[in-house]
Amino acid sequence: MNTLTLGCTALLVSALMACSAPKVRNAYEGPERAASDVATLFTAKKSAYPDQRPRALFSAVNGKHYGTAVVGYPTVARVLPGEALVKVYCVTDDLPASWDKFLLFYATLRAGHFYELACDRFTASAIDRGTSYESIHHLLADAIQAKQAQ
Amino acid sequence: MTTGGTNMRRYSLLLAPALLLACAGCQIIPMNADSSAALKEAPVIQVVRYHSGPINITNPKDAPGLGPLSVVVVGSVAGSGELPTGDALARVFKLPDPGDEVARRLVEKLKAEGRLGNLRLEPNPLPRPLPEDASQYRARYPSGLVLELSIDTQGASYAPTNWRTYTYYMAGRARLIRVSDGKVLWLDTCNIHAFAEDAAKRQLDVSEFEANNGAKLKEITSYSNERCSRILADKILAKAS
Repeated sequence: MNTLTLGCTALLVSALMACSAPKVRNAYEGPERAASDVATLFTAKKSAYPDQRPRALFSAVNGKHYGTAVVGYPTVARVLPGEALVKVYCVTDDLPASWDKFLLFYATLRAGHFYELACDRFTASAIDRGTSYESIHHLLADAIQAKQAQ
Repeated sequence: MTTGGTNMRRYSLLLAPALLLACAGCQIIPMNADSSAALKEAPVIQVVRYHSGPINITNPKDAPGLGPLSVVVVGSVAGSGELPTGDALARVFKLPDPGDEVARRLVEKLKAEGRLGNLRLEPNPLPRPLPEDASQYRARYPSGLVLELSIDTQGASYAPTNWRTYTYYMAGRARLIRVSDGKVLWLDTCNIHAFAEDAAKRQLDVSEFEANNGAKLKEITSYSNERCSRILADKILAKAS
């Protein structure tokens, strides 16, 4: 099998995995926990804001990866509360891919709170949007809203 | 070009940052009896250093000859495509500027081992660019000597055959300048590269950049700062490192 075939196969597998990957992911080990017991980190949908701001996609917490280019990046990640080292993939749609970068930050995450991931070219953060799902659901894509509502 | 030739070219380009030579093109001026005497007799030696650049971390997307597909696949499988920027790592783990650290440790060594009591470490680093014309220090200091330090490059690069293992490298330059006439009495480098004997002490797996709050990265950068200050101190004091 030549390199091109291998590459195409890898691309196809990656694309299928990324497309089929759940957009809501638990970024912790063990059994499912209640929403009130975890912090929910999310990426706002593209149309949430009128400007073309960079989007921060969840990649890893405390050095453990839950989103990659191969498996896709979750739109919503449920993380255990406490002090956490969060990594996001900061993507700017109107700039070349070479401008995209991975950024790190520490955050103190509280159980039951929703955090919107944000980034600029140099720094990233998790903005505490409180505990009310109603106050943030307009920032989420429809498919995610349905999953979150479950 | 043959496949082998293409690979050779690709590997040599990948190795370039690891093989870097500090102060390429500048002339080493070794310590001699006169400069050694000037060092001891100067009423004051101002130690100045410059802000260092960020850690340059090699990423598959920067590798020559790889298409977008290969970059995604190789980068993700190896993990090297998901590394944060050097800026982000330094900021979040509060890594000190290597210029600050090397200068501080160098002064400690020169005071302790060279019994130089005339060293004055400037409290703050100077902004770049670095002045090649050494006489520019006359406007800042009326007399004495200036020991100037600059860490020109720092980074981490993977080996061409193993994209998960990174080697941290650093290159710095120091000059001893007589302020009165701007003469460079001594000039030398510390060049801590991927093929030095101690390279294994500066290696880390791609997963170790972020693990344990950057403990391994902190350890390696601290080791490299110490090594650079040791090399420069030994050169100034004419000892073998």
